[in-house]
Amino acid sequence: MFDILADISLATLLVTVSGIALGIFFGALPGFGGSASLAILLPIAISLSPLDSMVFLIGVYAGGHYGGGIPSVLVGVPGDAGAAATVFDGFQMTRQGRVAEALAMVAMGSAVAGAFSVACFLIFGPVLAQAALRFGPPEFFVLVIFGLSVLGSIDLERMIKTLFAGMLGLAISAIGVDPYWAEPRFIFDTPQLYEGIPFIPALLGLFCIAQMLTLIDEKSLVSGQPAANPTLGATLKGMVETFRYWQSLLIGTVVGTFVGALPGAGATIASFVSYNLAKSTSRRPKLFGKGSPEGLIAPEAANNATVGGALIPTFALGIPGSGSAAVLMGVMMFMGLRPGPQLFMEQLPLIQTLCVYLLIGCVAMLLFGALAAGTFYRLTRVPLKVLVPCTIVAATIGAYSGRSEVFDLWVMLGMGILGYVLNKGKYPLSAVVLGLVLGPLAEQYFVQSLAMTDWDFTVFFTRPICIVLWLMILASVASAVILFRRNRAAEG
Amino acid sequence: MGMLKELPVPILAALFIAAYVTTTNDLPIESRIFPYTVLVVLALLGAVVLLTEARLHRRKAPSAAKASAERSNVPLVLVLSVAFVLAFQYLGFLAASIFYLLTTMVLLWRRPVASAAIAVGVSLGLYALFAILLNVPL
Repeated sequence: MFDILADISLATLLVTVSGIALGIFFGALPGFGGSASLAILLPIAISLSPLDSMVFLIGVYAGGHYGGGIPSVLVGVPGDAGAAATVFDGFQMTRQGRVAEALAMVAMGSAVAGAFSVACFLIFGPVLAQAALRFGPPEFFVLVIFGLSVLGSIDLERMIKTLFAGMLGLAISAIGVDPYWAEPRFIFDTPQLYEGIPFIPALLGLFCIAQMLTLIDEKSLVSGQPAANPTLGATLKGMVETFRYWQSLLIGTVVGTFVGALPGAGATIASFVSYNLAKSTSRRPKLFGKGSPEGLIAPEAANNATVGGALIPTFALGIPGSGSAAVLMGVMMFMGLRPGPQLFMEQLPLIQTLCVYLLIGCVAMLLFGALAAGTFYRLTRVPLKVLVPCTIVAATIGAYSGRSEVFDLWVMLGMGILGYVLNKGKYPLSAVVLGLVLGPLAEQYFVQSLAMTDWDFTVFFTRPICIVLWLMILASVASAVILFRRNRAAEG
Repeated sequence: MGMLKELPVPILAALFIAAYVTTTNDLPIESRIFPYTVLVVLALLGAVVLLTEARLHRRKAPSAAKASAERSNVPLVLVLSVAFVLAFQYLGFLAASIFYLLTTMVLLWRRPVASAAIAVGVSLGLYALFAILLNVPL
């Protein structure tokens, strides 16, 4: 292992840092997180050597997860679905003039969690991959239900409205062909709806457009007297402060790594589950949703910890855990690397080298966060009547670039109006997004489970991992109810 | 008046449920079981939301509606955004975004020269970065 450190190449290091920087840039642009940025940068990647190509793309992947948290904090618009939970407390901190503190914590949480998950990938990759193999469609379905069960604790005071919003997201996701017979449902002969409501335009509409419509009537992003431009020293202090909330950091890191290792589970489930868990175990749960650092660190750490976690099934099993992981796997195979259990045996030095560069890349992420805090702060000082239309135009590129369909722009606008109406009625949009993300997964696993057992519904209640997950769901619901009653009693 | 504000979302949901069920009730059971389960739960939750909010509004002392001193800019931004998408369809991204940014900022920010500079600068910058450098079709 130390031989690898001695062979660190400056050129490959620069490629890693470039990948991370580009990933952060694209991740911060609404609609360009995840596989979209990988697809755009693929031509650059395949012109490099196998190692350089892999560190570049994984750097983009990791940088994108961190980058998605930046607009969540600055303007309340997540760069991707995995950063949706970061909005709860991150944006509130900005509105309270604590943007430097929030961005510092996002940077440190992302770097620490990313480094931890990469280390887990290297040390436990094959072992965790074998554990992930024990999850079949019934286990995945119950895991998705677990992800949905955290809805109730997102906003305890509006629990019913939160659950309603989540169900609305699930209902909207049922537009399109079904996974069993491929029968078109509610598409009115519109070919663009065959695969359902396009996710990125819907996400951009619900969060970006709805948020911009809400902000256009306000005077500024920051209520009250804005804080001074953050200095490098203040930003570094904020980064060190992150470790005061080590419990939330640990929760996000562990949950994100584990959930990321499950193919198809994704950063969205990881971030919401860790937010819920951090809130349940916090000594100050009432501060969640009002600018709590714990409420920011837990989901942001989970979001980034899924990077290393997702590499586990991709490399060790040849099963990509997400669209982005599928792009990575495609490039690996193009470069002549065969993903699967034998990869760790045949190519261990390459895997180790990859991990070393990525760990160094996490440090680069931290440095970038420290140096760019001032620039990000200036963005919050841009007049809203300039920021709002510019953000809408940028979002349009994100919505259009996926399929080059003007239809997707109408979807974005339509969902934006829906999001605005839901906002006015105090329905949490994050719950709708969670339903939109998990709905297709839930139905797919539900139908697969029943198809493989000849429609035996007991399959969801008799398998050991399913039983454990149901117990966790009950614990999640119970803790939400207890917290809700505790809050109400405290308010008298 | 307070309770009236709670009606739009449950009504929209009810209309969606009715339309979805009407247009899919001839599909095989496997195609309907999951969405119909979700829609039943959605309908129940909608009813609970209305009942809960009605109870809350009855308990709260009626407060005079706050008359907003300034007119909302939301309808204007929405109309301009619709015009932007139409312009995008027929004129392309560059022309549509310059038109949209210029019009929106002149009407809301009221600084024509700065608005023009920002509109052209931002539009050209985004176009150069995505359409030219990164080959994203716009």
